[in-house]
Amino acid sequence: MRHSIERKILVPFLIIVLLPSLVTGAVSLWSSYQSEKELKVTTVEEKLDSVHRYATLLRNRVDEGEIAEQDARSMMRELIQDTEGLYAQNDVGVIYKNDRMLLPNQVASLLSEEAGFLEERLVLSEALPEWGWTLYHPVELSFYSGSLLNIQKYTLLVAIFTGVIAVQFTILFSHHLSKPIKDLASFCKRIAKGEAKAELRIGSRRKDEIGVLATSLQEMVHNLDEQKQQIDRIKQQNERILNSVHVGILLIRKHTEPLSNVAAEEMLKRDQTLQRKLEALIERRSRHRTEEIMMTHVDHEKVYYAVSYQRMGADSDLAIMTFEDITQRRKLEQRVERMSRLASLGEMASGIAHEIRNPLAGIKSTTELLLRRLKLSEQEVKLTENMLIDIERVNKTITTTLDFSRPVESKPVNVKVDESIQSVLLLLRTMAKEKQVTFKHCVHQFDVWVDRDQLRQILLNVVMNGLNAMPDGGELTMNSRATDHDVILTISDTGIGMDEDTVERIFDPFFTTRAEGTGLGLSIVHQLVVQNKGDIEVVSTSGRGTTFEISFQRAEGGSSYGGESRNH
Amino acid sequence: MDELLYLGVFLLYTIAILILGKHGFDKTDDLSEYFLAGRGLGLFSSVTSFCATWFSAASILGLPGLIYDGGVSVIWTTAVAWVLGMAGLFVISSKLYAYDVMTVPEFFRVRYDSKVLQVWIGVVLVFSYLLYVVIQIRGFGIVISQMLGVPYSVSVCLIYIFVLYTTFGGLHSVARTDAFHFFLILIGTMLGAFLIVEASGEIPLEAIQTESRSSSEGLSIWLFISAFFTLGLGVAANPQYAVRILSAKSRRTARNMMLFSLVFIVIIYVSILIIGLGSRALDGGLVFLTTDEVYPYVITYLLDTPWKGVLLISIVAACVSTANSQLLLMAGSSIYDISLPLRKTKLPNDRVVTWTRWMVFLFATSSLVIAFTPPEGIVPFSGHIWGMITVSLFFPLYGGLFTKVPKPNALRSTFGGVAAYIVAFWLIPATWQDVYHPVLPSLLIAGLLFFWTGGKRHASFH
Repeated sequence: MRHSIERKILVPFLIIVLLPSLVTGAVSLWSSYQSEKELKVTTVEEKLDSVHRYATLLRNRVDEGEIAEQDARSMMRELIQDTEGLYAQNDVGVIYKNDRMLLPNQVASLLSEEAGFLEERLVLSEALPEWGWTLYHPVELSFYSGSLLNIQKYTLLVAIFTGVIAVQFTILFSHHLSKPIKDLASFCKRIAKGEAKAELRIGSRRKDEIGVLATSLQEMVHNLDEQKQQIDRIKQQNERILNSVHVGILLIRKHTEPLSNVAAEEMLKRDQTLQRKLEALIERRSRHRTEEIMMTHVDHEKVYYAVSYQRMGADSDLAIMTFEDITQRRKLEQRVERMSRLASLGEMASGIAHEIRNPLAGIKSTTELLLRRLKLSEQEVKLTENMLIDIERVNKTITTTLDFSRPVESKPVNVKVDESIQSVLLLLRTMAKEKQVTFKHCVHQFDVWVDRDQLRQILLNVVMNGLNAMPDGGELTMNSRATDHDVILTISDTGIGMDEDTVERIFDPFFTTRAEGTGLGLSIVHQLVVQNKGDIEVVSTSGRGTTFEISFQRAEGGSSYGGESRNH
Repeated sequence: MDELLYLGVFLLYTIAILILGKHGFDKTDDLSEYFLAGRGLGLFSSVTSFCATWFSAASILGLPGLIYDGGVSVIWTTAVAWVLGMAGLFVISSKLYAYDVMTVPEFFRVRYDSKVLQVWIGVVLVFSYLLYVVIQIRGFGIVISQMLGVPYSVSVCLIYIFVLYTTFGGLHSVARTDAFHFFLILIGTMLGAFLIVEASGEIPLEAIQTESRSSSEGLSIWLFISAFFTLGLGVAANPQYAVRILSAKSRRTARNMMLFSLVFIVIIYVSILIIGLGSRALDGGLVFLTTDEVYPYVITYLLDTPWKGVLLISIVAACVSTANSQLLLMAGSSIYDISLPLRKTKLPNDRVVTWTRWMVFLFATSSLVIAFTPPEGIVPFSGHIWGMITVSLFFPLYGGLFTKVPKPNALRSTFGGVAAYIVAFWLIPATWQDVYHPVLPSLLIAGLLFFWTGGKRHASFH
């Protein structure tokens, strides 16, 4: 209220309406007062004048000897004594009232014309030279006097009455005038606070400037609201897009926290090393576009990121950084590369095997013929037989190589993973015992859609690989888990493990770390897995063991419950 | 000099009302704000507003005169009956507060699902309060003409502009001015009692007669019963008090309001009793046309004190505080409870408030015109206003809150009760009506009609 428009209207209007009432009342009171004063003064003057005339008359009669001077004086005194409010001063300067001489202080207060607030005191005098006397008559006037109020009561009441009505109407009018302005101000305040549903009930009914202002303001707010909604929609869309992409995006500004999308937040939260590397890249503040592939480890697995950093404008302190987890892409590329390499090697091996096989068959026939026709000593026979054994071994290798390079047909059926695992473990139980390896099999009853025999071959090769990796015994764990579409088999050993280079090459044909190995076992595994639309991953740490993760398409049906069995 | 003193006091009172009355102007766009101060009145505002509304011209102006004339027994048939009615209000305060309604007639629509009942109760209130506002204006006119020595017709115009002004701001303004009026009433009556006791200090206590001046008969039990059923139950069912329950900010505030108000009301009634008996001690032989003239006369001519202005202005405060409250209810009922339910289209809130203000103006002007030449017997007739309110509202209100009685019974009770009242009014001789008031048989009939199930059992207390 203190600074409100209402007060600014109210106060001047109040003054305007109250002033005439007050002035009218005051003037009326003043004029009544003056009339009363004039009346009183005239009355006293007439009174003094009549006393003077009487004194002159007495003096004449004394002079003419009609009455004695003493009697005349006595008559004068009686007259003064009977006349209310009249004082007389004799020829020696003493003032009398009722035959009593006034004391000096009484004289001073009698002759004083001092009066209180809104009061007046006059002392009228009349000299009687015939007697050497002076007459005094004080006149006291007051604005409080009842007589004045009686005279002006109605005028005052009318002034108060009209004043009250005028004030009330002024208050009502100032309220009425300021109300729409206050409503507008309140409307603007609510809009400023962000109230979307603020209402203004002025406008449609008013045709004056306030109405125009209200309508325009409402339209303006409506337009702003629409534009804001549009901007919000675009902003939401942009946010949705930015948060939907898998690429992490950082908007970097000097001395402020970078803005990031959801993917960036998740990646940075998951990978602290990446965060440090990115911070280092930001610190460099390269002026040119920078692209890097960063490699970190998350849960002992390699993770690859493609990172890009670029300034936004030459002089801007804004920069944008994008980073993408390309681990899967990189694995895919590796797999394609590996398959391509396997195919090339397979073709080459097949060609070589084919070329070797025919002469080898000749050598074998000739050797057998020589063995039958020649009379050889016992030692020579043994050497010749060794030749045949080696020829057979070479032949077998060639057969295996040819089998590897020949396209194999898969007939996928619904296979219970645990049954296949059990049969393989049963087969290798003796070997495991010899090597002092404990089998640990977690049963889950998942069904997969694969070729039954090929699954057995895959499992056989991988488990044997594990057994071979544990010369001093250990534990081989076979577990499985399921996602929405896949079943993932994990085969972990606690063997010697492999370094990163070895892991990179284990699926290459003829790559082996064992002297007696052919180097084709895991290559075949890889080929069969791919053939059955599966995937294979290897995680290995030197000295701690290796884990193979093989995933196949999940078959319809099947159940999942936990269980565990151990076999030696 | 007295007139100048009165003029000064009156001027101060006017300035205070102008300032306080403006309070609600900016808070009245919303219906709930206008009618019920947003149901947010705190304990202080609720108590002061309740007490200021409680004391009307009938209490402050009429009661000292009645005690002067009728002795102590008058207290039993007036103040005690009123206070007993207050107990009823205390009983319903919690249950009534639970209803989210704007007016008391709306409660009847919500409770009984009956627009007819809402409109009917609205009509009863409009007519009852119109007469009652006339009585307040008349009381104000008597006091102001006594104070300022101006004609009665001029002084009634003053209350008109005061009441219009304070009602314009809705219950916010009414409550704010009520706080001021309450203190004037409290201080005025206590001061009046003290000054009268002081003035009659030399008169021995045993010389003060407490019996009726005109009749040697004591208090009749029938008279008390009549008073209880007329005034007591009239108060208990009166929407001008019930609305103070609805306007409290919480149920607890509403209940505490009743308790605190009771304390102040008793203090003021005791002061009024002392004023009545003390006036008789000062001069017991005065004869007046109406008992309303006793207290102003005692203040003006029998007391010699500069506080006279405060004593007289406390009577003015009682008149204005009751009149603006009733005017607000009357105007509110005419629009919210009569016009709106009968309209097919809904009105926006600000239009309802504007229309209500126009009705305030219309009713205030009508009351003023009637008050210029008040019909003879209007003051004695005020007892019938209470009676009509009692028979038409008591059972539907209390029964509605405490029983499961359905709509037809409530309609039968209110219409039947009023019809019975009119019949009893004509049949019981006027001279008997003080003792055997028409409210007695009509309230009995209203109660029977309310609980009569026609052989079916569906009226149970809950």
